[in-house]
This record gives sequence, structure tokens and C-alpha cells, in this order.
Amino acid sequence: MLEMTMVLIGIAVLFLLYQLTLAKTIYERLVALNLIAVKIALIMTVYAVYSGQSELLDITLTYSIIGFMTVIVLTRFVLKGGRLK
Amino acid sequence: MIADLLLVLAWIFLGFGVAGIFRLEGVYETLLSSSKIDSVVVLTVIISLMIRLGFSPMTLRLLILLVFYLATNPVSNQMIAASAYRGGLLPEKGGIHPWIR
Repeated sequence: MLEMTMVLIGIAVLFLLYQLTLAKTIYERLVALNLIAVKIALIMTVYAVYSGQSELLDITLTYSIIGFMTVIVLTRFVLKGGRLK
Repeated sequence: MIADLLLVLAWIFLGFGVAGIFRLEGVYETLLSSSKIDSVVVLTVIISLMIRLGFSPMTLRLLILLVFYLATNPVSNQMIAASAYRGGLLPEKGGIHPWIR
């Protein structure tokens, strides 16, 4: 069951990569980026339980924090029109 | 048993999420389907893993991950929607159902 879950989430990530590269507006690409970050963190969570390594969950938490920061900073960058101030 | 059923539910909602992203057009519709359905996928998968593990130190970390996700995902989705709205991309008048408007 856990292997099948990881494979299916990986296939979903592939579809989202298509959306990330070929969407019309930048906001849809940001949505796809957010979803990819969440889904890769989910794959890491399932793999941590699958292999029994509890250290991977800390890495997963770090990864999800970095994904959240990426989306927030990129949306602010787009909102300010390309300027950071 | 319940853990496997929750995983199957997560697969179904994963398919719905990907289909919704490709079927619906526009930023707001994509945001609507993606945020709701992705929340369901993360909730079901992590609760299924917690049921599968029982009471162990990994369960607490999974709970921390779940709380972190439930706290941050609406913020990022709201930031994307606010960025699109202030960026001049207004929602279409025909695209939204009149009951919602």
C-alpha cells in the first residue's frame, strides 16, 4: 500500500511539472509549485514511515518550511512588480 | 484495515485534484480545487500513517507535520490569490456561479 501511494503521488508530481512549465499565467505556475512542494514532502513522509527512519521526518519538516518560504517570497516578488522593496 | 481504506481514499482524491487542475481554467478555479483537494490528501495520508504506526515517537512528529501543513497551506494559497487579484487578474463574471457572488 505504501509503495503504491508513493508511486501515485510521483505520477501526480509529473503531471504538475507539466502544469509548472506550460501554464498560461505565472499564478498558475505558483499554484503548481506550491502543490509540488507539498507532494514531495508527502512522499518523504511516507518513505520515512516505510523505511522506519524517524530522522527523515525532521528533514521533511525543514523541506516543507523551505517550500512555504519559496511560495511566500515569490508571491511577494510578483506582487511588488519585480522589485523587492 | 482503516489505514488501507484511508490510503485508497487519498488515491481517489489525488486523481480528482490532478483532474481538477487540468480541467478547470483560470487561477481562482485552480486554486479552489487544488487547495481543498490537496488538504484532503495530506490529511488522509498522515492520519493513515498515524493509525498504522500506533503510539510511537514518530506519531508525534507526524502530528507536528500535519499541524504545520494545516497552518501554512491557507496562508500560501491566500498569498497567491491576493497576488493574482492585486496584479490585475480579475475573476471572470461568467466564470463564477451567481450564488457565490
